[in-house]
Amino acid sequence: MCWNKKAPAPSKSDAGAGPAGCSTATCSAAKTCDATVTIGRVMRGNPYVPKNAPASDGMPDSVPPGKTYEVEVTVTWSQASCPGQYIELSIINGSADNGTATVAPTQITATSKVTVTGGDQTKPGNGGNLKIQAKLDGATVKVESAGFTVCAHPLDWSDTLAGGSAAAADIDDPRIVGVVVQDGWDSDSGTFGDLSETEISEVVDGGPSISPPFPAMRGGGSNSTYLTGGGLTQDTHTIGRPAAGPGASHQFRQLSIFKCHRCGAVDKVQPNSGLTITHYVFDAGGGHWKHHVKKVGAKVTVGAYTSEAGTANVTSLDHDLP
Amino acid sequence: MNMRGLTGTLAACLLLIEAEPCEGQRKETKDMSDTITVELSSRQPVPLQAPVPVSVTLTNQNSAPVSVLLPYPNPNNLQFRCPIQGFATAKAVEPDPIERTAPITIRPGQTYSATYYLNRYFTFLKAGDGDIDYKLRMFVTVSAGNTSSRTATFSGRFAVQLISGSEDELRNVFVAYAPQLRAHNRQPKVEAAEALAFVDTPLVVPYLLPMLQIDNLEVIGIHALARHPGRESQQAIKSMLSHADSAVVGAALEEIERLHMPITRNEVHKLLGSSNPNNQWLALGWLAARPSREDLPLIAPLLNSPNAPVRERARAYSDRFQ
Repeated sequence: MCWNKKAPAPSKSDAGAGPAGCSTATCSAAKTCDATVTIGRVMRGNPYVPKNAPASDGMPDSVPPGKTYEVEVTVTWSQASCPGQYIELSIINGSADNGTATVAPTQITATSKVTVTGGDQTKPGNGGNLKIQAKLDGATVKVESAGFTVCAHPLDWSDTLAGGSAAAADIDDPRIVGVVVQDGWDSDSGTFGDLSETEISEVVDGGPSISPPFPAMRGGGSNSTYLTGGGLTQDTHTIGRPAAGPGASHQFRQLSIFKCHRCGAVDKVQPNSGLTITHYVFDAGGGHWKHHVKKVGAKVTVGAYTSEAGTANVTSLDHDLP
Repeated sequence: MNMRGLTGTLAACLLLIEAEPCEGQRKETKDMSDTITVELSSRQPVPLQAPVPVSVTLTNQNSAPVSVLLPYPNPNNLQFRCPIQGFATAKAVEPDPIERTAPITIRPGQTYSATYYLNRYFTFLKAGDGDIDYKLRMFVTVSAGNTSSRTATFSGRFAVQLISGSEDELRNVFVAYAPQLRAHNRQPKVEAAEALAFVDTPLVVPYLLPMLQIDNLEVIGIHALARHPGRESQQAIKSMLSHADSAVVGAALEEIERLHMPITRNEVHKLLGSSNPNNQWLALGWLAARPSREDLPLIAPLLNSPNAPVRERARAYSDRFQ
């Protein structure tokens, strides 16, 4: 232990614990160890994982509120033995704008895995200001981590029939047929309301249609407008009313991407949001042609985006054709 | 001024059991237990070439909450026709390939309003009064006991009045939308963008340019500027190739190709180094459509991309030169 001039003078009974009449000079003489410290990044992965996230997903350093991430802090002492010395860890720059986080433990004496826990979410425009700071003996700043953000991201897309039944969700119009589905998703923080500063866009791609029976469509990819991740949406899947045969199907692939105004993530794939939407024209018997549309979870790739399957198993009512 | 025509707004009261089109100025189909009223009106005279607003007001006449799907914009379900020869010519209206929207809940006796613009649908040819027919198809859900849903169709006619206006008057109209473009809430923001995006006079170009710097209006701005493909517009569109959002980059590349804008290969090469894999994927597609051996050194790093679709597209392009 070392005392500086600002510290209370040791009592006589403490004399054996340090140099008597401690001064800056004597402190320097007594304090023999320096330390080299490194701090890992506060990464989250996509989807969020509590440790060992890959850097390759390009996600800005961040952690969901209420969730933890394990970070390695390496400590290399300048001497083989440095009794009583330690590295103090803390989260700096926490504020209402930057968000808050905690780190545990707050003191280490050797290379350790420490846990960062997200607190209050960072406000948009203030991402990346939180840092883990390491101080030698709680006094000398040795290093600060890369900045990180506290923010929730969406994951796990689902679709169900809007209104709860095929009849309620049905679209059977003289011009178009299809179905309306209720979209759903979750927050990786576990609290849906945390997604208020995220936005989600659907990316859909499909090949050209077989015409007839389907109206001619040249195919290709499209992005929906980014809409807030803090409010659920409904998708309307319609096509022009097909002809009464021949039998055919027309499939579209869908996944979702998101952006986060807190950490600055842009165009990140929403985990588990892959779906296919397939329109079928089929002979129901006796030359009675019908149409229906199915939306199911499936691993899909659209452009450079790939997502594992979302959750959906929706089938519309059968629609008499033409 | 034809005040009767301007204020004689039409109410199309639609029965959820069976939608019926209106005839003439006003018709209500009576079912007091299950109705929603749709009213379209264009109350203000506007200068020729200015945005022509149409207020769409929905009123829940039910004793239970009603939920409607009313996308914005709504090219798939909101159609207009001008029955008067020589007043306006119809434009080709691009359908929205992804119909995704948050349901709007309207409590009993309450209303919901949105302002659409006729400029997406028509080029107006002269000042004066004119009638416009509309048809609105809308998915309506009534949450009373058993949820019931129905695609209802509402139709009718309203009047617009266009007056002659100077260029300065037009500029004053355009500039008035500038604050609304930067609204925090999505609805007024996209309404302002819609107002300006389909105006036919190139005087609007300076008022479109800010959209390229406003989150989620960039794509609308690119396509709007492409409708006035002068030098200023083209430069602005090309500048969007550096954007992080790949939907923005995709829209810029689409218009560059459609308008045959001069562009150096180097400008697309820069996308190969984008942090967004979908921008890399788009660039590879653009380059592969105009293959050149000079690209090979630049795509070499992407042969080892951690993103499989990028890696595969780079490999396919590279293999063409073997």
